[in-house]
Amino acid sequence: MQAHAETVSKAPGRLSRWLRALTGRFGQPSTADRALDELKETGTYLTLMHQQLGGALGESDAGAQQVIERLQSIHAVSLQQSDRIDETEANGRHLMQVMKDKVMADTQLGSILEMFVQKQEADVQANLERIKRLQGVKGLAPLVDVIATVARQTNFLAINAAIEAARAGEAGRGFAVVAAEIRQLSNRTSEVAVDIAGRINAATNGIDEELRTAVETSDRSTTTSNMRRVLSDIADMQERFAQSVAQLDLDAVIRGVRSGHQDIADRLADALGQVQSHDVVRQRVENVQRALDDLTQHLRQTSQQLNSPGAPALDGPPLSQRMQQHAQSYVMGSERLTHREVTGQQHAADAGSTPRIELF
Amino acid sequence: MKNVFLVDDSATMLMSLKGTLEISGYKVELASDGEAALGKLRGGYKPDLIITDINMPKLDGISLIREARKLLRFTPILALTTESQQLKRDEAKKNGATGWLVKPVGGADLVKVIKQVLPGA
Repeated sequence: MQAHAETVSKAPGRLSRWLRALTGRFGQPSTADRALDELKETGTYLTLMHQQLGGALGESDAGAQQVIERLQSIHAVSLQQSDRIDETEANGRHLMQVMKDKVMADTQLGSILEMFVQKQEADVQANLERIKRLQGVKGLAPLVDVIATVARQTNFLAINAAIEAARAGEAGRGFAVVAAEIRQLSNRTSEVAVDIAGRINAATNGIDEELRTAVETSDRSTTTSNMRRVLSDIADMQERFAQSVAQLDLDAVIRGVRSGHQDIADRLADALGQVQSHDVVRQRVENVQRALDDLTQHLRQTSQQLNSPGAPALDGPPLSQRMQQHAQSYVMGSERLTHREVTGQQHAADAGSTPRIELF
Repeated sequence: MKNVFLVDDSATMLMSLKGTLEISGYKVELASDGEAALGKLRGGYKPDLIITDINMPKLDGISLIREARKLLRFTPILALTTESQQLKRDEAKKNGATGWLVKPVGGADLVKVIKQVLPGA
């Protein structure tokens, strides 16, 4: 190690002297001088690269943060949607309840109407029966004829009695009075019989008229048929509502929407987690920046050494040692892998692979 | 709602992890280095879970785990880091870490691990 250090410390001096000798021989800036100048500029170039990487990291950071903000805003919108769905669900359930209540009220109304219609129909039928029973009055008409016949015969009998009373002379005078009274009674009976027959006829006609009207009313009852139609409509509506409820299945719809929302949230959470890759890149680039700083310092020292032949040996470690020191700063397996691929050197911490997630 | 304490020196990391955990239903507190985190814990903050980076300025993650374990005996502490050396992992375990996760860990996997160390969360 000591010998190596001495060689390193002497080499730049010899090289410098040789380079300057070449410069003096041709009296103009030699290739070596130009090489020295280039070497000086290399440090600036490396610093520039360092700064460029830093700038890129800054922009990448800002970009990643904007992506995160966008993802979070998507989640905020998704939450708003979820709130709206909750509200819609509440309204939907309220509407369903209102419809159920309405159907129940209509069902009750239908039952009442049904009862009313049935009573109405029964009343009409009872009226018809009553009117039909009244038609029995027609049966009185033959009796009136009997009365009229009896009155007529009685009249004939009274006339005959009056004739016989006249023949009997004074002895039949009293009998003639009786015969006249009987005849008068007979005439009165005939008149009453005619009157009764007229009244029975009028009553019969009235009853027939009532019956005809009642039958027509029963047949043409618009009220009843309207009520029947309303009842039928209510039954149809109930059936359609039951079918709609079965098809709608509000719970299934809400479950589907909520599941979709949860899926979006899970994917967003996962996507946000993937932004960690940016941190991996950032740390790796920052490590490269540190290596560039180290290389810049090394080149600066080397350049000074070449320009000052009498100057003491290099302060810092040689490049190979710097590279080994840099390897010690690796934290990622990917960094060590790249180092091994380029240098062929195995890192001490490189032995075996470890799980990415481990619970102790 | 469970409280998760996130410690990382990267603002982007804190933002992304906070988003992941809040969407998944956790309440999240943040600290941008080990020293700030320890100050908060010493101030009486008692999270249900700590997730910390390892390579941080001022106070590194291993030291934070050691000091936090003195204050919170049973609180799970997860290391979430790019560091993959077994040596560091062993050191964290010895100082009281509950688990070791190498970045990047997808949000779904992270939440799965949290549910394992926080039953009922």
